[in-house]
Amino acid sequence: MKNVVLYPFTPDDMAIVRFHSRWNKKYRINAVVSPRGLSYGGKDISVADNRKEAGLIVQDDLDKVLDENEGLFIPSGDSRETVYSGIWNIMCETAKKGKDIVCSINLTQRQFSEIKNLCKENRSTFIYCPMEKSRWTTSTITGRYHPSVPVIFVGNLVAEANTFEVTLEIANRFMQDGYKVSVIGDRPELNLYGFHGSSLLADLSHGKIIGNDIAMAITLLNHYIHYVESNDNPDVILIQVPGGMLDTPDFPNECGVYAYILSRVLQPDYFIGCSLLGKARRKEIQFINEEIERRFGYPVDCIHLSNKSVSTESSLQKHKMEFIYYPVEKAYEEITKMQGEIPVYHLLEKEHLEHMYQNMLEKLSGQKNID
Amino acid sequence: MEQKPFIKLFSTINSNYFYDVNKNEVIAVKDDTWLILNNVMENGESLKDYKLNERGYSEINSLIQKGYLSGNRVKEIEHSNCGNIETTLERRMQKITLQLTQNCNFRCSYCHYTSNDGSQRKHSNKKMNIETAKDAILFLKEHSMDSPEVYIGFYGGEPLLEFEMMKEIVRFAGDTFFGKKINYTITTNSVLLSDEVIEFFIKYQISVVISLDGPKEINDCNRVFAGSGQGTFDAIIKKVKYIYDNYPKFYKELSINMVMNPEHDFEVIHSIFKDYPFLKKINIMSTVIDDVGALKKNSYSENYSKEVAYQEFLAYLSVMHRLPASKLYPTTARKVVGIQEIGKHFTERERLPEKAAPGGQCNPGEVRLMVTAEGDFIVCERVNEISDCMVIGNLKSGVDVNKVKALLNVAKVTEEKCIDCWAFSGCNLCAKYADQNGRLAKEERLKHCNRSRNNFLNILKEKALLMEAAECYGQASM
Repeated sequence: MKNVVLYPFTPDDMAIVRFHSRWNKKYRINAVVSPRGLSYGGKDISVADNRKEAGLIVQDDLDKVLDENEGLFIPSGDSRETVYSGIWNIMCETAKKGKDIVCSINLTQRQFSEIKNLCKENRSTFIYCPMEKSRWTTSTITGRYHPSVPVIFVGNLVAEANTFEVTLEIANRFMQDGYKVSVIGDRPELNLYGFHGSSLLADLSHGKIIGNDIAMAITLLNHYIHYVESNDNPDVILIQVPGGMLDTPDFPNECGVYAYILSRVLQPDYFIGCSLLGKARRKEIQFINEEIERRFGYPVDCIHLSNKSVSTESSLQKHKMEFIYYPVEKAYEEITKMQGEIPVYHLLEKEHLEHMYQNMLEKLSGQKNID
Repeated sequence: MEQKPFIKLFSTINSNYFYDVNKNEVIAVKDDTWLILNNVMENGESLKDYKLNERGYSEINSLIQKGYLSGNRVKEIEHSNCGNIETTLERRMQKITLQLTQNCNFRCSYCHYTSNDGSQRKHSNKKMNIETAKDAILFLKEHSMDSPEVYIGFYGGEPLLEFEMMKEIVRFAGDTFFGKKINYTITTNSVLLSDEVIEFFIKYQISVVISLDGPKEINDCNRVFAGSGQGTFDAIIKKVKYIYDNYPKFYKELSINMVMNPEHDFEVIHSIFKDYPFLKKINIMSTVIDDVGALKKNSYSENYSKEVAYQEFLAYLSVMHRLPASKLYPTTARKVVGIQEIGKHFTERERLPEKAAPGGQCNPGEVRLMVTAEGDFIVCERVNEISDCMVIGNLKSGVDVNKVKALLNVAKVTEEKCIDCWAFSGCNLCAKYADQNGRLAKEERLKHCNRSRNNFLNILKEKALLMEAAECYGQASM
């Protein structure tokens, strides 16, 4: 296994740092580097999203750290252009040093060819990890498919609240028990782990349904999931629901429209709603459940409460959601006040995950077979 | 004792309304309902005196069934951000404004630093040193990890007096914040805007606000050069025209801030846009002279007040698509935005929580923080920087959380009054209005209450007017 540096590190990459080495046997993420302006440098990685210490220090001297490792891993997590400032030059310099490059960000055809040749010249490996493309066109599909294995949805009740990491946590837990898991989401890194970072799902979650009308997109997605099941032969399918599911008085949160489209593709056997801190108080949970069921046709089986919250004043001023990470203990505190008919967990915590997992298995065993 | 409904009754020429403080909603009611409510609120009657389940009282009965007309009030003043303020200050700071210098090449008569009642500082030669500025940048960096971008403002006095230091700060900030977007702003009187300065601003995309108060005869009443005492209009307009002619793209990004003296004729103030039409092509902001702490208090001429009211009327016509926005004075355009965003005052809720604070107070340290030339932290450039209650820390010891909490909970000094005030959610008094010789004082805050209540009552009436217009002209008009 080769050691790579993950750059640029942001909170959206926590899941990659934690799970990459478990499922990708070619590369180990040995170090993480963050652009110095993000102020994570010199601190434990957990500072990025204010969780418990993880024992890995974020560095800010990429050149030095790259010299000590065998390659560079570029994740796709953050949407800000500034985070990726100078990334092309960094890739070229890395290739010239004979280091491997694993790249999840979009490259143009020209960039792809250039960097591939540069790596070849310098005897290093270039792994380009874009989204998995759909195999079908509108002329080749008929019929409607229903999965024969349990399907679990993990979705953001309002806005992004650890769904990617929660999905990987659950997948990992299933795999520990010997189950075969297919994961379908909107991050290209999933393709490095034998999972599926689907361009169809990604296009949907970015509001783009390229070249197709919505009805055709629904059919394409349905057949894509059929393809995944036929190919992978899994015991369970985990799907990340794109976009926010519920609007709030101040923000539309994609109006739940992408979640609705997915609900027309297929219905889950279990749904985990990921909530921001402060967006799902005890008295609101029943209302949230009713709304989800009314809009999408399935209930909330449990809630994951994140320590991520909306920074209200800034968000209202700028007319877009911005966030703040509170200490994770604050989430635990809120969870103790929120228990009721629908269980609430912090699923990045081992004990909570285990509790949810056992409950979920019990429910799924009563429905489709999960042997 | 039964508490009266927590409401505010008001009328327009078309209809009667009440504002429900708990629900934060404006409700139109029939005349007989309004009469009952008026009797309850003004004449000591009780809703229990009426047999509300009888015919004739169906509207009021229905309102009560839906949770309106509750007498519930907040039990204790505590700002909702108090519990989270430490994390906010640790991770979510976004903006610092650097007071590069306390000196200025102008002596504007209404400027607090030119003359005041003795409670504020005056112009001086004090300037920030580069190490203090760098420490401030590093402080922002360490406390903004959850902010996707940061804002650095340059202020004074006249910040361009320290342009060389400003350049060094911008280069340092660019290096320090590599990977994060920086938005720069500067407020300047513009006379020091040379080609070198303009090109630097273009390169680093620095947003510029230029102060200009109106045509020559208005501007030069108050805004004069330090030393000579000569009017500044000719120098400013020449500079603005130069930018318009030579840097057209940069010109479009400029803003002008007009400080209006309400003694003057409103139309005369705005004649500048007829005489210099190129000024209409950029963003115009306006405020009335801030006379808090000033020796001379504002007085409003009849013409000014009448014309402001007429401009508001025109703004409504524009909102209802009956008048193109291009026909409005640039200062009125902001009124249009205010009307269009009126919904932000009326976020729905079931009832007032047990603990809450009136509106008006920002999160000190999160959205803005000013660093004085000496490295002290004050809330923003609008407060008294030598007032003890407004100084919330410094670069050496950081932000004083207790002082920040005191500002967040400024309404505690008038808790009894605030809890019972129908304008609770619409209050616009920040802690600045409670500042009395360095402490947050009840009597000082209460002086401004009427003005705040009248302001919110105007907002309630605007809301009612929009509801009526929607009925007449359709919701699409809004």
